[in-house]
Amino acid sequence: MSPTEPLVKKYPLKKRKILKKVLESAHWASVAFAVFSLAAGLLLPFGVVLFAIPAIFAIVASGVIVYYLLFLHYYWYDLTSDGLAIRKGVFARWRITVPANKVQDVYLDQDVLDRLLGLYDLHLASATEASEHEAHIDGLGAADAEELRAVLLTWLSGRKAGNAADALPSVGAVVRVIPVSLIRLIETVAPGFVIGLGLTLLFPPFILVTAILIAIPFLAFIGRRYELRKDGVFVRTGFFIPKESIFLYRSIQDVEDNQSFLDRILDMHTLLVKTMTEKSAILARLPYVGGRDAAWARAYIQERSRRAAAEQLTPKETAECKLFEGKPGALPVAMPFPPHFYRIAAFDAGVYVAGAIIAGVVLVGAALFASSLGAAGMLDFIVAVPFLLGGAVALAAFMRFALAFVKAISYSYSVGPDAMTITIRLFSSVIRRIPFSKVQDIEKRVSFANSIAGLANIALESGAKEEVSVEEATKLPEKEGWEGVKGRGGVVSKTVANERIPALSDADAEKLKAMFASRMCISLDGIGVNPLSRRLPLSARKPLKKTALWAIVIIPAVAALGVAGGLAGSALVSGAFLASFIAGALALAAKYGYESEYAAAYFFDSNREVAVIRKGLFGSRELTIPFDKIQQVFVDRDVLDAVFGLYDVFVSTATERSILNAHIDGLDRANAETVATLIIDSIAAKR
Amino acid sequence: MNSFSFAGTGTRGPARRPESGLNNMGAGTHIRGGFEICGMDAIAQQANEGGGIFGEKARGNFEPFAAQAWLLYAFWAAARVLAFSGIAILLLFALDMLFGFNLLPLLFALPLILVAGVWYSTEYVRRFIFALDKKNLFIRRGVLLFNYTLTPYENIQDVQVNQSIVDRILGLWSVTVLTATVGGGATRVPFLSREGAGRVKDAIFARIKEARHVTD
Repeated sequence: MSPTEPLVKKYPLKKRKILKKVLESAHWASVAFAVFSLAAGLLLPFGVVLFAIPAIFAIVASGVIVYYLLFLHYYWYDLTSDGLAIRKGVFARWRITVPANKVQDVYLDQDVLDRLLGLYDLHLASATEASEHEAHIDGLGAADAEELRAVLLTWLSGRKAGNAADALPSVGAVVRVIPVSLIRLIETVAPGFVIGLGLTLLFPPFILVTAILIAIPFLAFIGRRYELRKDGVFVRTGFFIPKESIFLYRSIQDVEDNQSFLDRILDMHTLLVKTMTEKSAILARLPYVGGRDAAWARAYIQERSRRAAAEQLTPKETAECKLFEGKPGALPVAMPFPPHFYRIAAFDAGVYVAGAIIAGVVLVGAALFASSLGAAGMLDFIVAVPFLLGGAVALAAFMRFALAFVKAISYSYSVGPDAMTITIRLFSSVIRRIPFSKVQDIEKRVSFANSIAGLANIALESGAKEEVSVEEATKLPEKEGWEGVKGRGGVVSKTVANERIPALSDADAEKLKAMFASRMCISLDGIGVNPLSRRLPLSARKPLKKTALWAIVIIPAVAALGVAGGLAGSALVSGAFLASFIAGALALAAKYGYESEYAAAYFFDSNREVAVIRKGLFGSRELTIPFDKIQQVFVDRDVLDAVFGLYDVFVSTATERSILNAHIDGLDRANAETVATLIIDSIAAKR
Repeated sequence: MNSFSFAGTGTRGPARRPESGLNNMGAGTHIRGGFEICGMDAIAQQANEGGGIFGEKARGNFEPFAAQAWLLYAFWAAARVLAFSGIAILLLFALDMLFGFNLLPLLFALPLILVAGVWYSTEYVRRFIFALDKKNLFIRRGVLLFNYTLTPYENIQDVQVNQSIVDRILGLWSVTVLTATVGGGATRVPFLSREGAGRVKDAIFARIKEARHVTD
């Protein structure tokens, strides 16, 4: 912002950063050192080794020093009219520009070496992964880092500041501190104290160990700090190596309040204030907050993010939709449409009964057959079968209804004027509040069982990322974007239970969807009246292409069997060939039939505000995406598409569901172009 | 549907009426079947503006690629060709040594692979299209199968201007545009000169500023 000198001149990276890099590379150097000394010790006289090794060490270090001198020389950052621009690189060169209105979080942290050398790493994240890794100003002095953060926060808030010093008192000012519950201190210090005391009584010098056991949780306790600042939620953790993060109110997607069973006894809460960034899934956790503090902090954060979101609306949008004006009289409606947990249980119980009847018939038949062969005691068995199966079914059904009962008493949701809240509370408790302005898409999902039971699930996804543990990650299905996470835990965008309203009757699901849509200020008018999928239908060649995929595998396999049979001249192989020929033909016919029906059931439509895509033959998945949440539009084709003259149109949003479901695949060229153009035009028209 | 063509070789729809298009549907217009009421012709017209999605011939690159652009792609193509050829040669020798299949004459096909590699590289550069359309950044890439990406300007989160080491040797730059699309959402325009990359970046930011932030 300063017209005279760029920020990099005012807040330069410290030369100490070079020392840090030398030290960092020292462990590699020491490995090389060890290997070299071993080899050299065997081959060379001791005197040579004595001089050669330090010499090599010096060469490596000077290389690192020269590189980082150049790195610092070329390093440049400043606030430009486009955004925060950072340029770096000695050999490969690299520049990133992040516009102010896209920034979600601001971080200030250190690693161990930074701490020793008094260096700080100031970084920003927008909703892209790249920015989290790349938008770093790494190697600032303590005072510079604080001041620069204030400058950046002023810039982010859109306030004009003559210079950084003017801005300092007001920017990032602490509005309120959320106290970390004292119970947390007792809880963490107590075990160390008890163990330490016991050990000390046995062996007095253990008092030192006791001191350490108490000191570590104590320091962690006093190092942890949460503040509700003017611009966002500030979180600091760590005593020796502090990490500070600011999650801007305008980027907070939803607020979640979690309590484990123990937390409920101790009246402690964990607040989650996630933004769209991956880091926020881990860092935006505020554990150990007392009950009353959690309540007001949650309300405050929600109100601030609501207002910040309202500020982002254009006058046109505000006029179109009065949602953000507060509606003082409007109260949340608790469970406008009840989930039918018992109906699913009844359906499952019906499945158990049907299964038991089939099993009974099979068992009785087998017993009669065995009896006809002369087996004894079969009559008793036949009499026992209904009792055995009946008992099993009764037990299973009881368990199923008990589960439904647990769900019914623990699950509740409410629809407020501007947010939906889902509460799951039994022993532990989760309260998740998703503001409608942050919802990326509405999903209506009907599983196969639900389609028979006449039920449906509705889910809203805010686009906040979820942290998954190693165990959870191993259970994730194969999916694009999840490869890196599978098996080792990490952060993904996935739909979790507290975003979903299950077991609604189909009519209720439609009503709830409409209710959500009106709260989200999107209209569903005209959807399905004369759907696009009828006017711009999928190509008739699509089922052929899908069948061709199977044919590619089946036909060569059958042909190979035929050739093998011919060569061997064996009747057995020829029989197998004939059987596989018939089976293959039937499979292909069935596949073609299925794909034709699938294509016939394929539904997509749009009005001015939303695109709706529904697919599935046994059950269905329907995605309603507001145009203003669509990130990109793609038109793509694979080799088989090219053979059959087909095109796929994809849209992407900030949620993982879009990757899975938001594509219309199998259009001919003209329809693909019209659909893609329609979407891109509608996105533009919405703004 | 048949009254217009997307071929884009100058076949434009009828003159654009100011009231046509989804943008300008009157306030009183029913949204029901909005697409139909506004008329497919209106959409077709909008599709034709900028040559439509497939009408690439009507659309030029926003910024010409640097003259040495194909060298970069040829470099990667050559690296791939060398790697594949190396594996192929090893395999052929192994077959010869182990089973006595003398397939070594196939080595004469290697120049063909080389020619194909060079052809592919030059065509990739020649057929790469990026345009700053009115509403979105348009990118088409591919040689035989094309991949089209349309990124509305207001969804652009960060813009990167990068130069890898190979780029640096050849004096090339690339501009990468990132969105909040899950799993990356990066779209890259390679093969630019330093000044060209700067102009592309500035033009993108000029359009971002015209658009408005609504992504979250």
